[in-house]
Amino acid sequence: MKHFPSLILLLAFNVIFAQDKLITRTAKASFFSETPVENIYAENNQVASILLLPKKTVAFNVLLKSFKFEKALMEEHFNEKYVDSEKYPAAKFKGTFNEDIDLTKAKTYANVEIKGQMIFHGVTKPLNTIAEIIVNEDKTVTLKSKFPINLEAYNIEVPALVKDKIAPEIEVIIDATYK
Amino acid sequence: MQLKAPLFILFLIPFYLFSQTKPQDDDMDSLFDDLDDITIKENKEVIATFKSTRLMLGQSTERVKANQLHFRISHVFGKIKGIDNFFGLDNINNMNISFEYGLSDFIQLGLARSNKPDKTYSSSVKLSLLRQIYGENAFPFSLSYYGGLDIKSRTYFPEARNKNFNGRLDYVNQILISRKISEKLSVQLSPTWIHRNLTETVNDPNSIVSIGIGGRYLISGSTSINIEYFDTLDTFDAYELNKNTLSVGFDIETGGHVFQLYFTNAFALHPGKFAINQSGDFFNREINFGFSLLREFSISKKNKH
Repeated sequence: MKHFPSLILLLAFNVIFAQDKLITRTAKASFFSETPVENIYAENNQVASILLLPKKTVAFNVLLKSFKFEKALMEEHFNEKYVDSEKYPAAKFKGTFNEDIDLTKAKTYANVEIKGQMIFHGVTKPLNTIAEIIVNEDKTVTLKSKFPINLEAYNIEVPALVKDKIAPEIEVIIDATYK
Repeated sequence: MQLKAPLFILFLIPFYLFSQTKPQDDDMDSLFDDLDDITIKENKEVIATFKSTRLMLGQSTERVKANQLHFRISHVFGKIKGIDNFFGLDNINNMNISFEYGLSDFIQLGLARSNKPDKTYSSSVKLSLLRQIYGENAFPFSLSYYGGLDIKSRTYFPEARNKNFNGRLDYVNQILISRKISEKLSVQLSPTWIHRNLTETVNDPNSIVSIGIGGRYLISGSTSINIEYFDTLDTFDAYELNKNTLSVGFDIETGGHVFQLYFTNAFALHPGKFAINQSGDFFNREINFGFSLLREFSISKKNKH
């Protein structure tokens, strides 16, 4: 029985570890393209994300077909012509940060620097952004971030005919609440 | 007791290992695998089989989605013959204005008006019954039903004909079957049955069946070449092979608009007229130029920004 204390420790460690893997399948990603001719806004409320606090890692999986646009034709063109979602169904991101997030206290961690890699449209590129991580009163964790994506960098070609309708750089907003 | 404790530990080891492997794995892919497992799956319907709800003159299996309104103006000009009429552009054979609304993603309602030759008002419904699906549970084709009721509002002579309301009605029934074969190539088959309550002469049949075949090939992201042929079944005396409707043209899409340009021997733009072997003689250069301009509006209140 002298092993018993270490056993309990082992078990407890397991449980804590499991709780530190925070997940959501309903995170929100939206983007906005602004030009004098046309503003385009789309929203996806079915983003999957995992936040591993002990590893200080966060990852996202964004299915491109789940973006909803105001105009159905735009949604179709987005999937067909620009992101080719049948071939590249998802945009993925994995990044790490340095802050120690304490789940036991409600607190806002502003300016958390996340450094990572984005895979989008068959292209992998480094992506660094500033996020806000909030430990809420109800023990849920919210992560918010905003960053620009340059279409050309991900090999997304905008035809000359619609060049004045689509901004070369679109702004992406992430809003995820983990449980 | 001395034996049981180590046994107990042994029992826990797989448990411990299992809970450790995933978080400890630094491999990017395994984290993404975990993510894939929890991701809500997207819709695997094949999209953009055609650029527009019309293949050329006839309907395609593309649909007006929920709460969207399509406004379309189509023209077909006169015969391309000689500079006198500026290659036909001086004469308008037909102008068609249509509104099509998506009641849901699967039900589309339409109203249209063609000026010549009968001042025809058309109402229509298109039901998207089956959709082509890619991926694991693939389905090979899309199938839609298109039904229309045309009311010819022109003045007829004699008076008795003019007062015969039933005689003004034409019915259009189409099954549209399409398949996107590759990113660029899509094909469609459109069996069509037109019933006219009253025909111009006693020899004309009331019911005419034709088979529409057509397709599109993308030549760039925004432009496709389209071809469409309505082969009227040879079941009546007045049938002439040359008067089946052939249309060849382009779809050009610019964001919220789709332009269609076509060369056709048809002089009317509604199926009650062009699918019944009443077009010009395409072997005798009776070919007209036409175009249609489509604009999509969103009626939905959500997602406004």
